[in-house]
Amino acid sequence: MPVVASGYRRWEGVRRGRAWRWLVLARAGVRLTGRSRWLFRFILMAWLPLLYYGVAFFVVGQLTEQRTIDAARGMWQFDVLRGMFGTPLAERFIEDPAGHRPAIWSALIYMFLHYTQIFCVMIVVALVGPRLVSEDLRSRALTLYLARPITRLDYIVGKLAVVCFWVGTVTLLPALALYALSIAFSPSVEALTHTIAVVPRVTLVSLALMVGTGAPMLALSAVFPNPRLLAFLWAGAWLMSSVASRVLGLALFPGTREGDWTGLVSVSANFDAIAFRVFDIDGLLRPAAEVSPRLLRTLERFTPGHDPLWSVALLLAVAALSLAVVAVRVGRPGEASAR
Amino acid sequence: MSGQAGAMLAVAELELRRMLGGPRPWVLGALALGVAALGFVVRRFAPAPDDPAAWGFLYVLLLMFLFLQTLGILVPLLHTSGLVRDDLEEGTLVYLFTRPLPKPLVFLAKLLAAGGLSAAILAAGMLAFHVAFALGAGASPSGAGVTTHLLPFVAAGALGVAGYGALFAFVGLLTRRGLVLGIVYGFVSELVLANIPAVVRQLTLMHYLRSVALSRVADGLSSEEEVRELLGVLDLVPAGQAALTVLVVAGVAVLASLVAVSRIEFAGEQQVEGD
Amino acid sequence: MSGPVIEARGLSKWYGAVIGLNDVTCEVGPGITGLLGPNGAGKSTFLRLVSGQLRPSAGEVRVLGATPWNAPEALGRIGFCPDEDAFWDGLSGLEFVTALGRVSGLPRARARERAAEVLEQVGMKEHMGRRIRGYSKGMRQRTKLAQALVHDPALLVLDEPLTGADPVGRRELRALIQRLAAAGKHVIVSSHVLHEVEALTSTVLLIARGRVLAAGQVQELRALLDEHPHRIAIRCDRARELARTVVAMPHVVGVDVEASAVHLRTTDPAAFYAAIPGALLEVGATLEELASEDDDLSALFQYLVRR
Repeated sequence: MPVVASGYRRWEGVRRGRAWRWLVLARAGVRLTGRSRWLFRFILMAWLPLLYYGVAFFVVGQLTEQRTIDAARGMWQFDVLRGMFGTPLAERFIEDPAGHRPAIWSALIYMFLHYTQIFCVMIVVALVGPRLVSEDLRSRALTLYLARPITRLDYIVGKLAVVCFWVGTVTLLPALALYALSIAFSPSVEALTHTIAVVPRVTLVSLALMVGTGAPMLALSAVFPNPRLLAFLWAGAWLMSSVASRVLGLALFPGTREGDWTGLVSVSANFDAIAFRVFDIDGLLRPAAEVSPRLLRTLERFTPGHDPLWSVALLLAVAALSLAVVAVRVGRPGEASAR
Repeated sequence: MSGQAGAMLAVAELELRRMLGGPRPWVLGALALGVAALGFVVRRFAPAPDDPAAWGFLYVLLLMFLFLQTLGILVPLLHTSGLVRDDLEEGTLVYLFTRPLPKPLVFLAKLLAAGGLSAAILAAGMLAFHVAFALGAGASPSGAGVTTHLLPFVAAGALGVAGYGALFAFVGLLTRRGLVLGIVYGFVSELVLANIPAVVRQLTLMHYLRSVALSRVADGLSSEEEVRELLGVLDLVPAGQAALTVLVVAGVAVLASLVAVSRIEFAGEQQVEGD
Repeated sequence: MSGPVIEARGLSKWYGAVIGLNDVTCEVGPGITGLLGPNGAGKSTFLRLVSGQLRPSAGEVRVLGATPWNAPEALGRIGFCPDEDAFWDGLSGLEFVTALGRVSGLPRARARERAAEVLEQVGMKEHMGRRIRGYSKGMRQRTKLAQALVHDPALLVLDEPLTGADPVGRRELRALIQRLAAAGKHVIVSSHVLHEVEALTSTVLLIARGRVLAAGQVQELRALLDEHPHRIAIRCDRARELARTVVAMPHVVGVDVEASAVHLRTTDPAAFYAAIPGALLEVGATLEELASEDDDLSALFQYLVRR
């Protein structure tokens, strides 16, 4: 009769590879943070702007289906497009939809990210981030984590992935869904080949938002144990930096964007600057803007006063510094939890 | 002092000690000083305008953007959205709610303490800004512009604390996510909707606070029209009416809170509304 | 006063779909009463209802003749000591108790005087000027007890007051609670440890799964324990021979044998304990250990729940 050893039994199954251990933490974190009803409600709300932009893409799709330019010009959809981009670009679009599709597509998805989704990122990160590290430090769960074959790096990557996941649900996913919608509204597959560059652009901007917000939030969570104060600091930093940037811009560079570096002060303006460059908004819209004063004014309002590369450098520096702060705090779990 | 008044004072003192302990005052102090420093930088380095009266516009603009529209919402939000929840989460609420002081009075004492502190922080921040702005001009601070610019803004700030504080305290009673909801409300209603003309703007508190803040600005500046145009605020209401509107909103929110606090059970694991 | 200190009639409390307390009808008399029950039994819910923190979902509870929910006057006669280890840590023990004395309606000077008195009473005189942040667990428990006493209530409601205290601290806290009762206070104290409550009082209320299982004297509970077969473990050599002997005893109703242990059930523990030395001598076994496997609350609860 076989005798079964009832003592400690070592795990003899297949272990997950080293490189994927962070995924366990990430999954657990996503599951835990995902229990919040408020988060769920807010993400639903964050997808609402999709309706507006979906209509815009529908309008654009309808116009390209017309056989003659005059037929298109007579449609109400044409008036909507004129309202959005001004008459010259709308005219050019119905004359040559294929040639102007990348500009219209990129501009719409850029605006989608610029107007509503960046604000949603701030709120989503404020909802999921504050307890990510502080709770582990407070409850001494960190000691348990690090007693397993999990390194500090695994821990940090796992936690960062939680923020990235939720940021993705209000940036990458809806933007890709919007793109899929735009393709669905297009009469030909040609649209896909013309505008496929939108996908890597959306991904890149979403990635910048994920890392650029996730890393500082983890650092704040590792330093401040009070989630309410942390959420306040987070929102305060976004709003105050945005207001400070606007005030400095108005006062120090009145009536000009030339040499205006004040956007660097603002969290959201930095992300905007990166998105502006990644989507190549200036390159795509400038030709039409040259003949449309209204579009030119809008374009200049969006054009960052500083080189977006400075924003990228700033984002990388802040992210690196933040992750270093987390690494230091996580490296001394006993000290942190005793506080 | 009657027993209940003394008890409320004790609750208020506990609340103040709680708010002034930990990193919170440092964060708020840093914010207020940062804003004051911004005033100095702007006044010191901004190119001189053709009309010297434009410095007054800038001063008003900064008070409006930095204090009334930003700190004026954030400070009461921080202090009042967790008025009961903070104690509940820290486990100290039980000490207050098992005493012979009615729960609505406990809440009211906490609200008054939090509101008083918020108003004081805003007023101190505005004063620091006033001094920094004067120093930025290379002059020593004077009383110029205090009655026409600074004081109306201080009054609007205090009214804002009353209005927003009461609203955020009420929301904080109903949900654990009072702070985040307050941020969303502050941004959507008080910063976005407040800038939409006509009826929409009249539904926001900010419209009435601006009316109070700008009520005397024309007395100190050469062109009232220019100020109003600059700020995009063209349909201000009389200051008295505006103040009354804010106070009525605050009063209704406080009354709703008092009813809620006497009905909600703040103990146990599951009866408190989760997130 | 005459009549019960606490009186519950059909008292229920549910949290959404979860029942915390289920149709409880009971009375708590003067003196010290132990509220016994395993973790999650509903003890804290009962005490929170008694101290006016919760509103009954059904039924009613009266404390010293009044319903405590939203009744400040009734709360003035109750002193509640929570089980959470929570304080405004930045305060000293004296400041903490003084503040809560003032919240209870005492004037500032009187509150300070009274706080010093009760802190001395709980043995915190030397430490009351220090910040609570630096207190040991036992000191924190005493401070919590002091705040419950500061307004001189008639009834003390103590939720697990001995948890976390060291053995010496427990003994001192027990002595203190007994002194308070001797001075005329009514005390209801919760615990999940039978012998801890037994050392405090002979009157207990047993609660499990949100229901009152038994109320009365500890001796009566002991008798209830004696009514159902006791499980006893004997570690010795010659276990098989011993088993053969004990199984012949009329009050032994079941026996399991291991290589060096006998587990048995008896309906008359006293008779068994009287007979076991003879049985050991008879088979020539050397006794290593004799232990009751039943002498804990969980066995009693299981038994009462089955009844």
